[in-house]
Amino acid sequence: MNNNKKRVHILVGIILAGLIIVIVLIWLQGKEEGKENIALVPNMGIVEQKNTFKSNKIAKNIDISETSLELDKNNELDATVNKFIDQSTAEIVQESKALNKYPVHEGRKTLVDKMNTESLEECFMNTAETYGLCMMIPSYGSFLFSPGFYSSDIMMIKSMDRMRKLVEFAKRNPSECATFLDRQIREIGSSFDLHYRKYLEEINDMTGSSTKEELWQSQKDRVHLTAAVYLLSENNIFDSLPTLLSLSKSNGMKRKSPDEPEQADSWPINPQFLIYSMHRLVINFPENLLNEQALQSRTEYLKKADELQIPLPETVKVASWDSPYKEDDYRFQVPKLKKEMYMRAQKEMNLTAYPLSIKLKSNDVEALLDKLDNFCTKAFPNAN
Amino acid sequence: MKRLTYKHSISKPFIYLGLVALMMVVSLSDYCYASADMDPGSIDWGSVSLTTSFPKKVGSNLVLFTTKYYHATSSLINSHCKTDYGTKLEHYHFQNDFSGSDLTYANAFWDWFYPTSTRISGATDQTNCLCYAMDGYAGSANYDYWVDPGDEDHQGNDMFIDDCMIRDPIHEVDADDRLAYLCEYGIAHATIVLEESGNEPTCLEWKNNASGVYQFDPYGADPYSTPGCKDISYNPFTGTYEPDFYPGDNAVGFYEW
Repeated sequence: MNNNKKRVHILVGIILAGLIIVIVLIWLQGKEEGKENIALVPNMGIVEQKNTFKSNKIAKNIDISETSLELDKNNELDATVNKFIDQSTAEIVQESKALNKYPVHEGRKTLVDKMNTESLEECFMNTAETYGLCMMIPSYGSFLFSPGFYSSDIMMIKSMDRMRKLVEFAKRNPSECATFLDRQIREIGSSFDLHYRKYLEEINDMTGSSTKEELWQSQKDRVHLTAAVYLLSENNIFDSLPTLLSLSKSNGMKRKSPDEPEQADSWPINPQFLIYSMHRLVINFPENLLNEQALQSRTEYLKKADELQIPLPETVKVASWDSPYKEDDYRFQVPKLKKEMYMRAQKEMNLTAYPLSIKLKSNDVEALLDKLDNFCTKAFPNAN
Repeated sequence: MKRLTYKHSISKPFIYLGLVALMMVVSLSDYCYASADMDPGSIDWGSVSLTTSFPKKVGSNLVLFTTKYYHATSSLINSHCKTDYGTKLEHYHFQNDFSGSDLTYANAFWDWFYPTSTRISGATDQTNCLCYAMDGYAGSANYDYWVDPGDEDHQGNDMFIDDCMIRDPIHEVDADDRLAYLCEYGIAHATIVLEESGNEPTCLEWKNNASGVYQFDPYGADPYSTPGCKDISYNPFTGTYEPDFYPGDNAVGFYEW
């Protein structure tokens, strides 16, 4: 008798579980269909719409702002499920109306169109191009745009659209990117002094309003170097450490104080930025690639970095380079709009944001660079 | 043991010469590297090698306006840039401000970037949002500079811990209050309450980077909120503009000092 009861209970349990699974599957299918029918398509014009969506499904490019949606409700779905779909539909219709109200900025359309046609090399070289910089500077708010100044450089990394394209490219093609960037760093590093001297000559003659309508070559060098160093670090290209370290040595960073980075106006790249980029590589360096001596020197470096309380990097979600709206678009600074609608409508990506401040004194930098030097010697004994 | 004296080691004139040279080096290094502050009128711009650029729009082309700048950081000898409470502020001086066609082209850029109708004064590279919000508040001070917003802890600049900024919920403001708040995708931002009704703002003024000054009605139909800040804007679900100014929202919002 007891056994029969147990069997009945098990059978009922199985049936109930099956029913629940069926309901959930139906519900999920309905949800997907709902989404597919009403994708948000801001009018980006020139950009291919399929690039602007998170989903792999190609969105239908229709204006739904005035359209009432008829969903398939023939199935006898649970009331809760219906309510969910209705609510979701209503929200998306509202969101679509809001998006239609704020057309994609003309300047952004132009910029994305330019980026769409650029190769890796063109995109990299155009990081210092005037149009993109002008579109980026409003994001600086109260900070100044001045390449080589730490706060300016970290804002640039976070805000620059071309940087986002390069990060995406580098993730897909790490070895091609590494070779290209290594060459760029060596070339720019060797020609910077000449460009900087020319810059000094020209700005010494600056009187009255400047008519210079693009960056000087030495400033472009700084933008390029900053971009290259960031990309190597962001993509964990560990083999680049000796090159980065030689960049710091060649510019005598040990002899100057980086605690006031604005004084470092003769350096091709901000020393704090460079050190922090190398720091990230050391942190992420896979232990299985290191011999015992290198492991020990890495531990010593990390201990020193810990003593100096070097802050951890922060990962931030941003709009992809080809998204119609940037996350800092001034019209979309409402939590509901930004987080739930704007990001849902667009492809997004992760970027590592550097800390706003790294408080290192000159002797701290010397100590860190010594430890880094030691680590690189052990980890890359054949590096030239 | 033989006692070392000036006579035995080095002659007095050389010491004096050395001291004078050292003083010259120290003063020149401060000067060249632009760390100590100076009266704006007495800066030798020929010795300054830092430049910064702002956007302009000439026809359909975007171009840059470049000027030298001087960063007053560690040693604020002349405290001409301080709050009424005596807090000295890190700041920048600029060699040139927009004038003539540069001003026209700078305005052309910002009017293209923002809606023209809400701009009430022209672009300037002298006064950023923080300075603009401070200007006219602190007695005789005149913030024709560019205040450095400082680092994430605001250690580099004490502006936001000064009592001149209001950090209370927005529903308790008076006209002329200066509001300071954090921006989720940017930095600290400052706004002036131009008009209020029932201790709630009906007109705010703000400035971003080198833009002109814009006005914004948090309850009105203006679709543009103050730049980079998440707390005032349009609610697409209700079709209204709803200010949402409360502190402590995921560390974004008003400072809670």
